[in-house]
Amino acid sequence: MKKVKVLALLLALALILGIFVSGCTPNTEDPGKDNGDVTQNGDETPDDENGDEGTDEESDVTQSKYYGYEYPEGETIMLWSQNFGEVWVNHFSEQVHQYNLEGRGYTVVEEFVAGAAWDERMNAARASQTAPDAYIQSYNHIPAGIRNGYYVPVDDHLPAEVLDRMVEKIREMVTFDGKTYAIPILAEPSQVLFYRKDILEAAGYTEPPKTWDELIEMAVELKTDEMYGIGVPYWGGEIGWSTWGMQYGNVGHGPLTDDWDEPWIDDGYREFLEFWKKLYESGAVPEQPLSAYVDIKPMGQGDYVFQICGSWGAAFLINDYPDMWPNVGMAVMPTNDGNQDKTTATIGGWVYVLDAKAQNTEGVADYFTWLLDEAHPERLGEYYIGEQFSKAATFTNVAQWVESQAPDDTDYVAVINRIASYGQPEAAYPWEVSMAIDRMVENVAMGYETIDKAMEMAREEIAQAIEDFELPGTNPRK
Amino acid sequence: MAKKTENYKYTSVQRKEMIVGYLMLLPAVVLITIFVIIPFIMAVQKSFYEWNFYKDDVWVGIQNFRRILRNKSFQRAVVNAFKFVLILVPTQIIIQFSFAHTLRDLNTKFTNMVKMLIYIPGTIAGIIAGIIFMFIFEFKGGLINQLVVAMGLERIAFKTNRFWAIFSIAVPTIWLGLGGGTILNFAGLINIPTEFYEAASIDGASGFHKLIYITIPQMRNIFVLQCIGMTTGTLQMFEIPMMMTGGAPRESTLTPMLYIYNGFRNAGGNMGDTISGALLMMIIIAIINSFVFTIIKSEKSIEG
Repeated sequence: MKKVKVLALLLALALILGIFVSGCTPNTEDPGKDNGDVTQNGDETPDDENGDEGTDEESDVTQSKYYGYEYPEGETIMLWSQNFGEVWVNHFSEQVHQYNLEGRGYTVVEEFVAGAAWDERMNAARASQTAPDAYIQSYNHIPAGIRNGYYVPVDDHLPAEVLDRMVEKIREMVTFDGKTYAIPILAEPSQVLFYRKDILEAAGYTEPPKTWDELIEMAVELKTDEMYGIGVPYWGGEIGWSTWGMQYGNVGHGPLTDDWDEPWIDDGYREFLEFWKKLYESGAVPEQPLSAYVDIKPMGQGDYVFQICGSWGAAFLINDYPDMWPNVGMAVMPTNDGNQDKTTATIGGWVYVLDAKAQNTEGVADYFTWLLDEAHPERLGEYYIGEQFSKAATFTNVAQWVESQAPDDTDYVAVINRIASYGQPEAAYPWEVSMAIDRMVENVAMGYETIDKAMEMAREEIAQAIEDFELPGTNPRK
Repeated sequence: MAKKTENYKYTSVQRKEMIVGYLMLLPAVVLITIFVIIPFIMAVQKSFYEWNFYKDDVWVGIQNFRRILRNKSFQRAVVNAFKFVLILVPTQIIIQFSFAHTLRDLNTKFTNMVKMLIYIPGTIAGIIAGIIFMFIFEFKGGLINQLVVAMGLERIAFKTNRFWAIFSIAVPTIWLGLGGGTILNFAGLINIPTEFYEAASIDGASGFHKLIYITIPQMRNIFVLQCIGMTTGTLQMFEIPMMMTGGAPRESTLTPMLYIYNGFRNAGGNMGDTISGALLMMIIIAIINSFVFTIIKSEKSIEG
């Protein structure tokens, strides 16, 4: 009996000790590092825009292929980016490796997190105060991040010489209240029309559609039993962000007044909704999308005559569907009146921000100063070549170098540049406002509500968001 | 058992046993304190603040609760959760009971094999089940749509049709719960004394009468247990809706937990709303469970 009691006592003590040992051990690893779910070999990363598919099933983080390499001693700088595919992972792993080899007093560790796991990981890291020193964000996240105090301005840390080389339009997108909050890495139009050149030519069309009506007519005419007319963004969020540019150009404004004090859902939106209604009623769109908006795989597999996607789709098709690519054309997204010299897309993309609680801002600044060295535009520039020139460079010297490397037969690059030249920054208002537009389109396209009723519902939702987020007078771009 | 008076003195053996008893309880108490009680207290405290992880908390009183309660998406999510309870709880209980009833009447060798086979889905995580059923319900290449097209019919849009969206969530949920629920029902059924059925047979009772007047009343405690477990589980449903529909179409399959998860992911949002929503769901679930206990008064559980 006594033995049993002693055993019970020891067991209880062991369990308590176990709890404290497992739960309270100080984190001696680099911030945010979780070796339990890390893929050691960057080469295995899938070539997928989001980097979600094909990543090791148990892993949502991909490490550089140089993971574990012994560099000259230096303070550790932690960077996180999303996994945007093989080209991205390989390029930036290589740059980090080259930087570390120089032994400048810092060792950069960059981890590539799958898109689907990004928000949870980032918020969990912020909650536990273990966010990396710098991390990737999309342009539209910057205003909310500033409001929440997540970032510090980069112009307090990076040399002015580097920041002054930023493309002017891009600098405007990352500057708020006179301070630059991000280091932009790439810019890309969020909406481009991809179409099957061979099918249009066979049907006697010499050019892609320019108006919404032409787009619907051609999609209906050219669809077959095996091929849908057109792939479009879907609700649940995709319409919310991918049509920002479409709204600015065709409606003439966004869903909020400039002071952000009232909803601005007027007759411009009625015409926008009529397009979606007509599109769905025409039967050119599959009842259910064949892929996410960012994924142009169905076009590569020959499932669509037209597909609306971001400019990144070009790189995906060239790299993954080289047989299909010669049959695919790219065009400016059709508009309500056929005028294509106006905004049809926002300029999206990715930037690095400096965490407000970064341990080593000097190290981060040193790495990006090295990466953006004026004498070495290829350090960033080679990435754009890997992405088949489908993304725009964000620093003038890099842009010039990339242009000098582009082959002559890249007509699609001219299309991307044309769209980008009319592009506007992504929306800075809260996501709830974009979702109100998303739901408004769904209500009309699926026939759940009349256009009037859907517009009224959207107005109510946006008014609620204005009140909840105390938006009046907070437009950072006014 | 005689009640001990205030002056009762424990013997040294009893005192030693008490110490061991408390020590045995200690790990559970520590775990519950760390992982349940402290987070709960923190959650209640945080729900009255506007907070994120980088700025000082700002006291906002009940503003977070007011905001979440008038949020249309959250309202829809709560209504959807109750819809799922009404659809899934009775359906699962009927299916699991029917399976168990059939199993009881099979021969022993065969029963063991079926029990093992039927339990396999119960060992699979919700996310994995979601992936499996995503392939089955996929629009273009999914198994069901391949069959539908082969039969010359139109493809079924499981994500954009409200009926089929609910169906595509109901099927994996029922499949996942089938094993455990059937085994539980089977255990309940074989515990019913055979004398009851023999006596009923002598009195000329039909199979239907035996079911209504013997089996179902004797299974009451199992049904109460299932009802509470399934109601709680369904109100907290998350993985399957996230994987299958993401809440679409028109938020008709958005569940409260999916809404809260999306709120946590949205870096621009206020975390106070998210916490308030989670606390409200906890209160709703507690009330529902108390209600279920009250309306289904189990004689055996009252007797202890």
